[in-house]
Amino acid sequence: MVAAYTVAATILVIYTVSLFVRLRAVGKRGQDSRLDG
Amino acid sequence: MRALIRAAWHIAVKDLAIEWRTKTAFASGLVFAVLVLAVLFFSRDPTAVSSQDIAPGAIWVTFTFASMLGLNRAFLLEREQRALDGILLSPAPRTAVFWGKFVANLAFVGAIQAVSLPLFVLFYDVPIWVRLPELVLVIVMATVAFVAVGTLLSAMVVRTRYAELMLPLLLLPFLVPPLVSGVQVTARLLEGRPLSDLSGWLRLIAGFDLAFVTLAASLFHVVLDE
Amino acid sequence: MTTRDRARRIGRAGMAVTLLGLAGLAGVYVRALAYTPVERSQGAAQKIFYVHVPAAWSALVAISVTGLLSILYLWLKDRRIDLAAAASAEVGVAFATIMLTTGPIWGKPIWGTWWTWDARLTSTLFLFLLFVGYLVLRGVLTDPGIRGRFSAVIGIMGLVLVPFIHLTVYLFRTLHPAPIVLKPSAPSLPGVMLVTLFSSLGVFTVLYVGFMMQRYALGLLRELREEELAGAAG
Repeated sequence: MVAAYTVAATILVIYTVSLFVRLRAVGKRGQDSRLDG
Repeated sequence: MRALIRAAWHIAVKDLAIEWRTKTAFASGLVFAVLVLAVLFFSRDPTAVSSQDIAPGAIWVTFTFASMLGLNRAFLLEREQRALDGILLSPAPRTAVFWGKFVANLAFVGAIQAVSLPLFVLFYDVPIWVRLPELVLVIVMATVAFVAVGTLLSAMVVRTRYAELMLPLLLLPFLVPPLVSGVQVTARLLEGRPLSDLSGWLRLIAGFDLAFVTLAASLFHVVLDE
Repeated sequence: MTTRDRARRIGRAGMAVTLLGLAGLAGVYVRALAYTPVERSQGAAQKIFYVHVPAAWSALVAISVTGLLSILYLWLKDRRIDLAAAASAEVGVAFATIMLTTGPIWGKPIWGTWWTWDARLTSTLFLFLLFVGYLVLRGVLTDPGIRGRFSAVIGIMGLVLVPFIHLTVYLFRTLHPAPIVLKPSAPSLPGVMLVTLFSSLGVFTVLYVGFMMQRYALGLLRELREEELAGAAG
């Protein structure tokens, strides 16, 4: 049962890290553009 | 409305005429049906599992694969001939394309099923003749479901690079309700249960058909628009 | 403020919300493991309930959001709606994965088998496959307009499909009942367990929102960059 809690937390943390890493990656290469929303 | 039916009819006839000329997809479908039926028959321990036990599953797996074969064929043709552009330029209403393809696919799959069913009876020794009308009913209902969703999805994936892979991937979840219903009803029909016992499953497929034929027909134009 | 700035802000805010959610998760974990009594018939294994059920709930929310936004997209054609729908699908995969992994871990000691084809597990399995198909389709379609429209079609059909799958398995089950009928339905739970459950539901909702914001921002920033690259090349 603790295994399940660990699995769940691990998946959530992995996903959080994945989002963080991907946001950083897209942020680095993009420059401020004159595109207006 | 008349224009719609006429346009759909022409599209259906054209599709079937093209298939009739070569008959390759139909032949492949038949060979496939025989193979599936045979493999499933031989893949069990005959002393432990009777042919009647696996019969419903065997015939429905066959029907499912036959449906997917039919669907692939339909749009492969379009892609190769770039015929879709021609149809789109015509004044035919968009939903006519859906209904035409739907009817053609249904006819194609129906043809394979019509030949597979006697083979099935032959190989598996199942007493279907007494329940034939009800069996045909459930087969038609489930096939309508496969073909409606499949026609929409095959139109969608035809322009992707991995069409043959994408179609089963996307279609699979949608096959679950009609497939399970089909197998369950078939199994019970073969056991001799009355139709009233099966009302739950039949209502499920009927509801599914209603929902997804409507959805597929309504959403089809989204898939065609450039 | 440019679109890009706005997207970055949403991303950062989303990360804050997510971290808040993770902190809340830690709190729920402590409460569930240390302060919530053990259930009598299932024992300690039952506690997975406090993680398993909210994960399933979040996955269901995710498909609903994707489906509804898909309808909205076909109507309004705003690409931001498409990006949000796609974000919800990916987030849904994460939660569905949690549900599908904790389910068997819960099931093994209770049912004696890793997988039972019960309505909720099976529905979530096909929901998972639907999400994956949706995301794969988006992966192979390069034109944003086509990608948006085709994804929307899958999104809408997927939303309608889920209740049918649930019904299918339910019908199957009423004729072939599962070995033990699971009974942890909310109303019959004692108060202290209900509080834990609802806290967890709240935390998982916060996590869903945080993930959504970040994934949406990511999608928007990616599309902006692609446009920029296309503009520079053309």
